[in-house]
This record gives sequence, structure tokens and C-alpha cells, in this order.
Amino acid sequence: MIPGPATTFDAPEASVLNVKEPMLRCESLTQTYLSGGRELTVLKNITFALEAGGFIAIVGPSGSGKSTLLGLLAGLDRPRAGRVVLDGQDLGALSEDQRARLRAEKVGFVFQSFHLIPTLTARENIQVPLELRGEEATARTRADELLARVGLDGRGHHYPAQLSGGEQQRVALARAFSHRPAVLFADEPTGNLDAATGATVIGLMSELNRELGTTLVLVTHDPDLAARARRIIRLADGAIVHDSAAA
Amino acid sequence: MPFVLAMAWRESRASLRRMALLVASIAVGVAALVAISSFTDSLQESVREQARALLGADLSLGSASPFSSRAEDELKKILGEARGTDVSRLVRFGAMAYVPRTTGARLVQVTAVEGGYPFYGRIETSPPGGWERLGEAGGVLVDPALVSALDARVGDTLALGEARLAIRGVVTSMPGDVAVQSAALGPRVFMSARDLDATGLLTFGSRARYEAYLKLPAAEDPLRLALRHRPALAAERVSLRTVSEDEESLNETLGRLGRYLGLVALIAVLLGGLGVASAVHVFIKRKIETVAVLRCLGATGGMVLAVYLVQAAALGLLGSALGVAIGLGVQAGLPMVMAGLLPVEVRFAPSWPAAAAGLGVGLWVAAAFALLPLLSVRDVSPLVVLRRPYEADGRKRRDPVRILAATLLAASVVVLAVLEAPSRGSGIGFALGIGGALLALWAAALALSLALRRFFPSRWPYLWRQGVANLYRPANQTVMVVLALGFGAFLLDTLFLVQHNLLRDLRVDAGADRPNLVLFDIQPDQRAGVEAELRKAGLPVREPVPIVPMRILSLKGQSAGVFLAAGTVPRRAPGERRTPRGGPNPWTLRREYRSTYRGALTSSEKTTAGGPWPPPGWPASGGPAPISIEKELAAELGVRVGDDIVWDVQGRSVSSRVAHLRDVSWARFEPNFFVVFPPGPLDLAPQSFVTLSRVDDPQLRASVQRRIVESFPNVTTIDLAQVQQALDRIVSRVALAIRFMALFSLATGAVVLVGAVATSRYQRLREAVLLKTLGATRSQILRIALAEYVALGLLASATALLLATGAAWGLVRYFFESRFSVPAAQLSATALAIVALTVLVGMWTSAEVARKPPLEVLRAE
Repeated sequence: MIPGPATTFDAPEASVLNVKEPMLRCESLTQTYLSGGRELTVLKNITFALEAGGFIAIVGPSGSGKSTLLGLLAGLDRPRAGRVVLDGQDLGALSEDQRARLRAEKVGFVFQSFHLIPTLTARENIQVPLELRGEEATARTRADELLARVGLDGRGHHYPAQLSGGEQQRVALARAFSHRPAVLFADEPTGNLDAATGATVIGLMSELNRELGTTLVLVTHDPDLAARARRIIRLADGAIVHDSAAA
Repeated sequence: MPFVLAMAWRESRASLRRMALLVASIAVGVAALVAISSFTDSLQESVREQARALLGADLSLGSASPFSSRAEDELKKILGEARGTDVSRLVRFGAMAYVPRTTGARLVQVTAVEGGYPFYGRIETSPPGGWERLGEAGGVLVDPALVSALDARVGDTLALGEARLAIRGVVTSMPGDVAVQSAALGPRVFMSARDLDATGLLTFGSRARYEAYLKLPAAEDPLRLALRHRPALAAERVSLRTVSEDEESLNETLGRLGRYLGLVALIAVLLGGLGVASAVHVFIKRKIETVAVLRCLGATGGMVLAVYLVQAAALGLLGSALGVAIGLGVQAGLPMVMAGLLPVEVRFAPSWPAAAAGLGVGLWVAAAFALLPLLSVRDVSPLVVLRRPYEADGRKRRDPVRILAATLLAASVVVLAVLEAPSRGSGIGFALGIGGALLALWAAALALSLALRRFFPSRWPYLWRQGVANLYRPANQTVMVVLALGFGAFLLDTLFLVQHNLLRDLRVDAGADRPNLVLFDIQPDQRAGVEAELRKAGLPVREPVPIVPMRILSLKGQSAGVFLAAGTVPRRAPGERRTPRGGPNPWTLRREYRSTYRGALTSSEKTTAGGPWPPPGWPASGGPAPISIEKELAAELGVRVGDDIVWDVQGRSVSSRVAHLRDVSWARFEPNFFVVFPPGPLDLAPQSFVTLSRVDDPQLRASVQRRIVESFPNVTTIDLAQVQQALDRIVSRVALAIRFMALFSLATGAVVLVGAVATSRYQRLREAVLLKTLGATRSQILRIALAEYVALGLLASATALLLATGAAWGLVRYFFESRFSVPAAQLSATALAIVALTVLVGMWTSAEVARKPPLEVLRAE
């Protein structure tokens, strides 16, 4: 158990539970890209809202726009039209750097290919989000706690290249939760792992989610994984073709 | 901020090996800079310590003729004002020394000493104590070079004119000794002034310098005395030197020399900057994913930029520190390289200001050159982590930060150049030259890409097409590589060309039919005898040329003494051409002219103004004698055709009018003259003769010299072959010093080349792996790379060559004011060597790709 989960519910984001403002909301999101000089519409008119502590899976075939949607929800990119509101903040009103600060405050990420920084040790990778928030003093102890929590006690000084894929993803999980984000975005978190390792990682992720009350947004095309979510949105050709909440 | 520092530290731990190029680029440049500036500091410190010993006195007076009675009176006044002053008198002149025992003869520089010179500094002799005994008549001290040249030994008799003197010892060390100087002008012989008359050498027409050295009482201020008495002495053509003024002008000269070498070092530093830029460029390409993750996790663009800028600066600091250490090490070796060129003994003393400046310059250059490529980290989208390689949207923003960074970089180069250059003008010119070269290289690279795309050689074999196409395909590195490579090559070529042209000027034109033996100071009654002696040896005899010594009495109606006295305050700095109210340059009035008279121009002369020579109407037209003046002297004198000059010819005044100006090719070894009279007015004036001959066999040359010196001891013979040898020795010394500094540029150039080729390597690696997967063999991949690097190397080297030729032409023609020629063969070899080096480095990096199986390379990347 991570010490202090009780305080999590006293944290400011917990108060959001009381008002009915959702943690994440998008309205009429549309995104286009240039490809070979021509404009390509990858997302069309996406609208949905997600309450705090919710767990949503976005599924669909390759090229359906899942990752683009994830990028927009996390403020990694600006939409062509529509808006995203994260914890009451309209991302469209924020500059690139303001969005980065918002991510440092409230957002965690888990990627398909882990994306640990190769030049940093496991522990240092976990410390990065805390240090970005200016919490250097507690970063190291917090990183050690999380390493223990994901079962990598004593591996903190290893570089990513010295860890297996499953271990790397567990470090990535620890990094994602280190600063107790309000929202966690996961992009095919088990895509590069074998079935057994993938199951361990998903188990850990949902445990941490439960302990910290984090809102979870999962992008996957694995139906079994999606089945663990409380809500499933299915995309095809950039549009929502099914929303389990609406059904 | 703590995040930035922590992150920078952790990142650089892993990248130190990759960034070795950056560290090396900075280190070499800073080493050159620190070595040269620390050495210059030590040199000036040494001059300060040894200045008094260099002059040997507090005050010295010197003239090209015996002091006039008015000059002697002025000297007496000084002695009257500063009671207790010691005086020592010296006469210096050139003469033939002859050792009867070995029959060796050689032109030497004689110094006849009277009194306690030197008052400061010590002259060491072997056997010891020789200098103190110099006052006793009958003996001489000589340079070791003379002993070996004449095969003589201590105790031998030396014939000097009519005198026979014993060689009492050799001078082993003397303050202000410049080894190459005595090599060029002949070995020195020191004798007592008491034996001077016995030599009979100071006859008519011989050149001698008369000096008086003064040791003042401690309370006396030499500068005050100098200021008070200089005008009167100058009017009598006596110059006056003081320790502090000597020190100042020597320091100025050495400082200027140091700054020229400093510019060469700056080239190495700027090349190092390019190395930094290309190293950072490659580095950032590998860091895109890390940057994207950091952005994703909430780092702002500025924070990420700061992380890498701090890294670059820290590595730059490391490189600078390394460079300072190397530079101080090199400095310890510089006195050896400069040996024989410096008048002072330089002690090795690390100059901490120079070291600190090197550290600062290195750090600054690293940061300024790293900033521009680093700015692209701000453009890395966090979306990269989602592995969606969308085409970057085509909008090219006019990024103000980028413009600011580029401006900062340009300003840094200008500031560094101005700080390092001998003058602000040359610093700005230097920076402009660099900017122009970069612009031209950039344009050339762009033109190549465009031209290749437009006129692609589609009929070439596949491998060549593939290689050449790499130069213009999307995301090619052509411009970057050509810039870095071409700039390095440009600097090296320019250095080479300038050096070649400057050194060429020091070569005497010694063609097969040119004379190589000169006989001076032939008295009128010796003419027939000398000619007979030459004929006896079977040598060609030329018509002897008369030489009449004279001085300028008045110029355009103004007395020379008035000009000279007025021109002394303030004292003329070396190289300065300032004269009061635009009047003549003082040296032109002070000097003794050795003029001739003849009725035709020689083959090394060309008329530039006035009619034919001599003027056809004269002497029928009457009036003052028409004279011909060398055109550059005319400019220094400030005279034109029609101006009057009155000459003092051995006490008689001779009026003349400038009627003709000539261009003289001084490099041709002929009896060349500043001033030529027509036959007639000087026929009866006191004169001596000079004649030239050619002797190919060195043995015969030596025996002719010996016979002349035996029969006519006052006649001086100069062996041109010896002069050329001495010159060659000086030239090779100077060239060694320049090449030594250029070596740093070459080293940095190599580092930059490796960096520049590495810039494109990352991309080529992926392509090569793909080709291999598709079935390309090792040799095919190597040949594709060969085609690409040959094309790149050729373009960079050829562009650099053209630019360098232009730049060197400008420098040689307008800055050094000399003739420009291109050593085509050597230059082509240099250019080809640069191409070969490019190909070598390129192939070396490609070989790794070709060797490894595709999967391994893919994983490693």
C-alpha cells in the first residue's frame, strides 16, 4: 500500500466529486492533418464527458483516430475545431507552456513503448514528474516507495536498457502515478508485452487507479483489456460509432 | 531551475562519450588561443625585465656618420646636466675578416668598443672574462659562427683591414641576441676602439654607425633628458633612444605579432564553434524522443531548452578547461619554436589572465554555437511519443528567438575578432570575411542541391545515382556538411596561400645568369686592380657602378634639419608614417643616400613619371641637375616631378630638380638606387665603386673572395649564396612558427570534419540498413557512400578553394601590399587532400554500417 492514499481524497481534485463538473469533457472535437499536401480528417465531431475517478476505454481499429483523440484530450496538440476541458480548464485557452504545466500538475502517461528516458536510471525516471512540479525534496523517497509498490525494489539504479519490457512498463507506471495525477492516459500499455506480463501491468494499473481515485483513459484495440473499463467508446474512421454509456 | 540542473547533470553522464567531439572542438581552439596569449604575456613580461639589458644603457645616441661638432656639444650639455654620467662609444660597420692560417674569409659585423659598454646586462665569453679585457688593444672576441665558418680557433690571428688581431675568445651569450639576425648580417666581431685606426677600414664611402651609450646617475630621468635634447640632436641626424621608449615600441611590435598569431588561433576557436554546432545538431536528433517525453510529462519548451543548453555549456567549460591545460603545456614549448626570432629570453610563466580569458571564450563560443541547433528542441511535439509521424505542417514561422540567436552568434564572432585582432578595422574585416565565406558556401551548397535535382545524371550507374541523389533528397545534410567542411577548408587554404605569398617575397631572385658575387667599397684607384683579379680567375667583369654618398640638405626650399627637429615630438612609433604638417617621413631625411649617376635605365627599372632618362635637353637647358627618384621614396619624401632637392655631397652642396620617377624591382639582385643622377655633375665627387660577377663553383667563389681580401682589405665581398642561405634559415624559422599555429586549425578542422560527416551518418545508417535488408551487398553500400562523400568533398573543397583564393588575393594585395601568385600544384594537392580526408572519414563511419548485420544496427539505433 502506498502511504497516504487517505489524503488523496482530501486533495483539491476530490472536491470536484461534489460538484457535477466532469473531470474530462470534450465537445465537437475535430482534427485534420496534412498528408501529401492534402488535408486528412482524422477525427470528426467527438463529444463525451468523463466523471472524476472514471475508467474509460477507447477502442477501434488501426487508423481510427484513437491516439489522435488521446493526444488532444491530454493537450499534446490543438484540435482543428471543438474544445477539451480538463478538470475545469479549457485547454484551448492555454498556451503550449501552460498546457505543459497543467500536465505536470494533473496528468500521467503510460505508453505502448514505455518511453522511459534512456539516459536516466529507473528511479530518476520516476522522479521526473515530481521534480517538474518542484518537489525535489521528497522525490527520491517517493520514487523508492513507488519502486517497491511495482515490485522493483532495489532496481532503482538500473538504466532502462538493463530492464525487461515488463519491468520498464512497471517503472513507467510508477512514473505515471508518482505525482498522483488526476487523470491517467494509457496508450496501448500492453501492446509491447506478452500476455502474462501485460496482465500483471494491467492489474497494477487498476490497483493504483483504485487507491488514488485517478480518472483513467485507456486506448487499446485489445477487447479483453477494454472489458475491464467501466465504459467503452468505439471509434471508426474518426467518429464515435458506439458509447457504452449511451447504450 | 533545480530540475533543469538535475536533468542536465543526469543526461550528460550518459552523453559524455557522444559529446567527446564537442569537448575536443572547443579544447583545441582554446588551447591555441591560450598558448599564444599566455606566451605573448610572458614575452612582454620578459621584455619588461630585460629592457635595460637590451639597450645596455639608460640612454643611447646613434648616427650614420661621426657626430658633428654641434652634436658633440649637445652631448657635452647632457653630461653637464647629469653629473656623474658614464659614456661608452661604439662604432659598428661591415668588413671582411680573414684568417691567414686557414685562408678563410667572410663578411662580418664589427663593433669597436670604447668604455664600459654594456652598463646593464652581461656578455658571457669563453674563455670567461674576455669582455673585461676587450679594452686592451690587439685582440678581438667573435661569434661562435665565425669560428666555425672560417675554421678558426681561439688564438688565431684575424686580419681585419690592415690590422692583425688575436682571437681572444668567443661570445657565448649577449642580451638582445637575435640568432637569425647575426646569421643574416654576418657573424659579429668585437674589438677595442684603439685598434680602429690600424684597420684603415673607415675610409671613404664605407658604411658605419656611430653610437654613444650613457649610464645616468640614479636620480636622473632619462626621458626628461631625451625630451629636452632630442630636437637639437635630431637636427644633427643623431637619434636618441631610452629604455622605456625601446621597451614600449618592442612591446608594441611583439604585441602586434602576438595578435596576428592570435587571429590564427581565433580561426581554430571558430572552427571549434562549428564543431560544437554540428555535434549538437547530431545530438539533438537522437534526443527527440526524450524531449517529447519530457514535454508530455509537463516540461515547458524553455525548460527542455535550458536542460540541453546547460549541458552544452558544461561540456564547453570542460573542453575549455582541457584547452587551457593543453594551451599552457604548448606555451612551454613555444620558446623552442620561436627560438632565434626573439630578442629576449622568455621564461615560461603561465598567464592567468590569458587562461581565464581562454576559459571564458571557450564557454561563450560553446554556448553561442550550441544555441542555434538547440532551439529546435522547442519545436519537438509531444505527439511524437504517440508514434504518429505526421508530416510537419508546412508553415515556416519567422521565429524571433531564432533570429535573436543568430544575431547573438554573429555579434559574438565580431566581438571576438575585434578583441583578438591587431586593430578594430582588421577585426571587423576578419569577421566580415568569415560571414561572406559562410554565405558563399551556403549558396554553393544550395546551388548544388538544386542543380543536381534539375540536371540529374540519370544515365549513371545505379550506385552512383543513389549516392549523388542523397545530396538533394528530403532532409539531406548537404548544406550543413558543406558549410562545416568548406569553412574549415577555406580557412586552411587561405592560411596556406597567404603564407606562401609572404614567404615567396623573401626569396632572392637567383636565376642562372644573375650575378652572385658583389664587391663593394672599391676605391677609384683600386678599380683596375680588382678588375684584373676577376679576369685572372676567368670571371665575367661588369662595368663598375659609381656610388656617391650624400644627404639631403634641403627639400623644396626647407632645411632638412628644421623638418627633423620638428618631427621628433612625439617620437615616431614603429611603422607610423606621421610627419608634422604632412611633411616628409623623418627617415628619408636622416638617412645617408648612396646614389649613382648613369645615362640609362637598367632592366629592373621602369619609368613611371617624367620623360625619358636622362632628360634629352640637359645640360644645354641649364638649371639644377635633373634627378630620377624611386617612386615609393618620392611618396615618402612628398616630392613630385619639378620639386627641388639640395644635396650635401661630402660638404659641397649640389642642387637638383626631380625630373623622373622610377619603379624599381628590388627583388632582382642588381645595384639598385633610390636616387640616380645623370652623368656629369657627380663625375668628380668623392666616390667608390661596386661591381658584380658570377661564380658558379663555390670553391672558386671562396678563393676569389680570399684573393680580393688579401690584396684589397677594404673591399667588401658579399656571397649571395650565403645571403640566400641565411635568409632561408630565417624564413624557415618564421614559417615554422606560423605552421605551428596553423596546426591547431588543422586539428580542429579534422575534428569538425568528423562531426560534419557524423551529422549525415545517423540518417545514412537507416537507409543503408534498409538497402541491406532489400539485398544490397556490403560493397554496394560502400560504393554508394563513396559517391556521396566524393561529391560532397569535391563541392566543399572546390568552393573553399575559390573563396580562399579570393580572400588571400585581397589580403596579400591590399593588407600586406605584395604581389599575389597561386602555387597551383601545391594548392590542388591541398584541395585533393581535403576531399580524400572527407571520403576517408565518411567511409570509416559507413564501414561500420556495412559490416554489421541489419538487425544489430537497427537495435543499436
